Amino acid sequence: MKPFALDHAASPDAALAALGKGATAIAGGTNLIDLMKLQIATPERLVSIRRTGLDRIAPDGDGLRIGALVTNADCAADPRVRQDWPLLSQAILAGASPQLRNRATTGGNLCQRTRCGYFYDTTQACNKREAGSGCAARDGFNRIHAVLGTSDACIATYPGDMAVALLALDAVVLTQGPYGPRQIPLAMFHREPGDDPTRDNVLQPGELITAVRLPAPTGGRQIYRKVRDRASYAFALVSVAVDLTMEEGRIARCALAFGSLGTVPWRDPAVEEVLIGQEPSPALFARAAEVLLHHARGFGANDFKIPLAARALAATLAQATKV
Amino acid sequence: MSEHPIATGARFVGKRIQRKEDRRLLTGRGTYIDDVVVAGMLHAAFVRSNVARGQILRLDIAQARALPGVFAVYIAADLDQLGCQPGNPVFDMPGCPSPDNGLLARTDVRFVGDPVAIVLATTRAIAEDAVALVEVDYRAEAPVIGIAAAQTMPPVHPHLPDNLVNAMDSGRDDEIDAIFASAAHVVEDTIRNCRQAHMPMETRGLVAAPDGTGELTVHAACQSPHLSALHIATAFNMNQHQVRVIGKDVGGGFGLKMSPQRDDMAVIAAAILAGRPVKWIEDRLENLIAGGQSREDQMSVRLAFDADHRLLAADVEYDCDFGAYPYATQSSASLVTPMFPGPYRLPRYRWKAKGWYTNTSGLVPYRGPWMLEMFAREAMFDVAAREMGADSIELRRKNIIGKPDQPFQTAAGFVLADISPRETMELAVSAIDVPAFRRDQAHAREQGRYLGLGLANGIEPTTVSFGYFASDMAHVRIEANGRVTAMTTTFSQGHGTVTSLAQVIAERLGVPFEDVTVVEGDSSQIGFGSGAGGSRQAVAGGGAAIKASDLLREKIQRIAAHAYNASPEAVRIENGVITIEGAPEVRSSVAEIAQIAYVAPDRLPHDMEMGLESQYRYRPPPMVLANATHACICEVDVETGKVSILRWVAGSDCGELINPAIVEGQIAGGVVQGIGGVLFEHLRYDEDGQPLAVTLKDYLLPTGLDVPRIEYQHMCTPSSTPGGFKGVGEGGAMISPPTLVNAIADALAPFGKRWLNMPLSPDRIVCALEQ
Repeated sequence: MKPFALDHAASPDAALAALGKGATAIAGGTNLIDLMKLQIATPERLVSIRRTGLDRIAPDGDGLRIGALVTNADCAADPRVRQDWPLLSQAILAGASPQLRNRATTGGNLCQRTRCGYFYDTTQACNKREAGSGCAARDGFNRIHAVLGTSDACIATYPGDMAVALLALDAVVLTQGPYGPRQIPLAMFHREPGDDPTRDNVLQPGELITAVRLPAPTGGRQIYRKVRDRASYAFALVSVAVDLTMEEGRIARCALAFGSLGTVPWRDPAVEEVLIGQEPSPALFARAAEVLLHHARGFGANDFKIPLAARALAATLAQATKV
Repeated sequence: MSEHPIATGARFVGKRIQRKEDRRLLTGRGTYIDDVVVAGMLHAAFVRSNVARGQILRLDIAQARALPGVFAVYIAADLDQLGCQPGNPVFDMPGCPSPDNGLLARTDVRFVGDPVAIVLATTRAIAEDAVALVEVDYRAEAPVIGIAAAQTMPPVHPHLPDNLVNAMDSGRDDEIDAIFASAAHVVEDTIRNCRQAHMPMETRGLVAAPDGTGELTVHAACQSPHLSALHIATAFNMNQHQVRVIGKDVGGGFGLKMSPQRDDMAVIAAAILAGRPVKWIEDRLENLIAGGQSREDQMSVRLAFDADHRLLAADVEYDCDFGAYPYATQSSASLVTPMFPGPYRLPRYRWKAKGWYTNTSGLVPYRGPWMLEMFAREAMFDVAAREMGADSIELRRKNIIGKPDQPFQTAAGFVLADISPRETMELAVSAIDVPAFRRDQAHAREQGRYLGLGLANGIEPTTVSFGYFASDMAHVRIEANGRVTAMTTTFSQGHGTVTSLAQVIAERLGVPFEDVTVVEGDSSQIGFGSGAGGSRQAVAGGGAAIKASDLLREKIQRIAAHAYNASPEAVRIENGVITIEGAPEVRSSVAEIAQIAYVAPDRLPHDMEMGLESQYRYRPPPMVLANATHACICEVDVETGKVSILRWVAGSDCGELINPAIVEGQIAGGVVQGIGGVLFEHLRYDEDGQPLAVTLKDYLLPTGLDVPRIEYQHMCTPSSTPGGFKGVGEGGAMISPPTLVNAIADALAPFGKRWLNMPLSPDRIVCALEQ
């Protein structure tokens, strides 16, 4: 790890001022510190935003406003979240370990970087770490990599669980920055790699996430299903978040998001359109999977994700539509 | 069971006594390598190759050396001045020395992680920064990756003719071909293990502190201070007394820390050259790429059965990947083919075994290094049962050895005695309630749920007493205050030997358990002994403790008899209190006898040596066999490939148990490591020789949620040793993989495929189901 200076910001404004001078924000540090140890991130100045007071959960109309510094553990345990947005609780608890969830924050989790092994190995080519250096994963060991949203430059997945649930729940990311506040729908927050994989999301330099807003609860049946190598403390091979309402034997409303399948948390309205208004059946679920995976492309070691995603989708929908 | 009646009422052997070390370790008061601080200590970091095979074209250390805080940067030519012989004097096969390319790579590198330079600096952080400033250019060459490549590609070590480490076979046997040709059933397959890491919580590490008189103190994360000291003294051509190895607490060994490897020797050499104490504690990346590996082996198995499903013959070919720099050219992997017959009647057996060098991290023995014999045999029994339409338990019943069948000579020449394979199998089968399970299984399948039952039998050769492993020593003394201090050549990396040996000694002496302190971990104390390795400490250390304690008890009896005018046989020692049979008015104590021994020579029998201490070097039998049957029930989610373990029964016979809690801890630890190997753990390399598991997010270990509660069933067939003890350290790690693989295969039997090759991760299971 390179030496660095650390300041504590006592308010969001103080944090923004420090960011404006080129400091890097640190919250829980559960990802950034790892990156610094491996010298993938080498910030000279850090500003800790843990004391900025952005650590509260509060009602926001019919919805809920989750401060950027609310820890994953606190968010998952919040009675309102567990009652009205159980998908979010389930997704958070499916991720990491208790120790990490006690430390990791809502805003930081949205910004966590990929777990692509080549990104973490500074002796290997990686366009996300070093623009223009190439992508060792395409022809390398790409078991955990994306099959949707990939580009010639990058096939790394967004690895998290929380954002997948937030995407299915139509959450909005609230930010403050040099050009004022912004409200970014979660579906617009993460960036597909295209020809510039270095930027994972649309945050501008100096911009700070202040909160995530959940809209009014849907009252639907919510399930987060995570397929992974071991029972806990493992990133998803594929995950499915569903929020679904049945009416008179048909799917009346349905939101579906997928983790570790795409380069970003993945949601495809066409899949939901296939399902809405229909009676649930294995054939219907298979058609939804076909639409979801029509453009999916494996790179060898991750080919299995395509059939696995179809199976996970069918199993999750079967569970969510069961009378 | 024992040669001497025990002169005490209090039994400590066989009790679940709380370990003496637990409070200290659980409250953070352990002393591991990174806790050791020596005045003037420097910190080491290695520059390691990032290519698997290639010539070193340029090595520039100027910038690194110029970094403030850097004391020295050494390359091969520097360390070569010391003339260290890095081979393994203890475990190399005779006439087949370990390959020597220096402690640091001289002209070429042979695996990713091969050390090319070592930096000494005032902090580890500075040392790591300096490592990043060392410039190395390589001309990369095509590496030898995998056993198949090793058989055809140019040698990993240029001075050798090919990549063969060793080759052995059972000799020509034409008759066996005729048996296979005429057998009613022949089944065959190739079973491939997958490369695993030892993964101790504490990685490799040491603090090497030379002093001005040419002596060297090494604080080492090791399995035996004595063996390590011997190895170091031999490698550096020093006198034994010049090397003192101290081991305090060690966070797991599993074979990785048997004695110093090349990296450890390089740190010692650097410390000697620098004339300063040097600490090196391996980080997890180094541990994963250069710490050593195991289980990269495969076996082609053919089994012949008669029409009645009796085993007629086995024909196996075993190949093992030794990597570039194995711990030694002889590995206990060479027990794979001799142990393959296991606890079964196998009339005819032919085998071949070969080891191969590759451009990967070296083979280091890992808990049950010959595990493939058990995995391959037990997995193939289930394959055979399915192919022949037999029940897999019935098939085993027809062929297994029971207690009445012993002594029994196996097809490989071992004599089976004092074991109970048939009996532990019946124990495990009845604990599972197989008929009830089969009903549950059928019912579940109707609902689209897939349950499976797996079972495996195994014999564990423990306390294999060859070479430096042939003896162990205990020195027991009763201090002048009556308290007992024992120094032993055992060494715990979590084994609890300071507790279990205290139980043995307290019982044999007839003193309170609390009064006995066992001291281990310093090569300068008592004589040589080889510590932990080969599941030997209960038998070898326990035997030495019994023998030394018995000598001491006899002396107490003689002193007491002399003092109270009785015969030694009439002296009873219980709980530290001494009474004389037939003289109820006499009541003395061990402390009082100790006072006589140390300070009242006039009250001792004529010509008796003063003091109250004894020493015994115990030689165990050549091998002590233990045996076990494990059975498990699992469920496989056929939608997403997830395996859940629902029940696990461990039926084992490891003779007299000293401390059942410690025994069960050993079994559990091994089972968990085996489960990890089946479901998660895989040290993969790509075809360029790049390791793909470089962090603990790539190399997944089982968590508490992945392992079942284990139901222990103990049987006791005492061994012929003084305490009736047997080893138990490795069996769990060997028997759990076939147990679980057989359960998964049973669950998925309706899909009609073979499910043998690990790891059985969700993607592999889903892909196989898709085909």
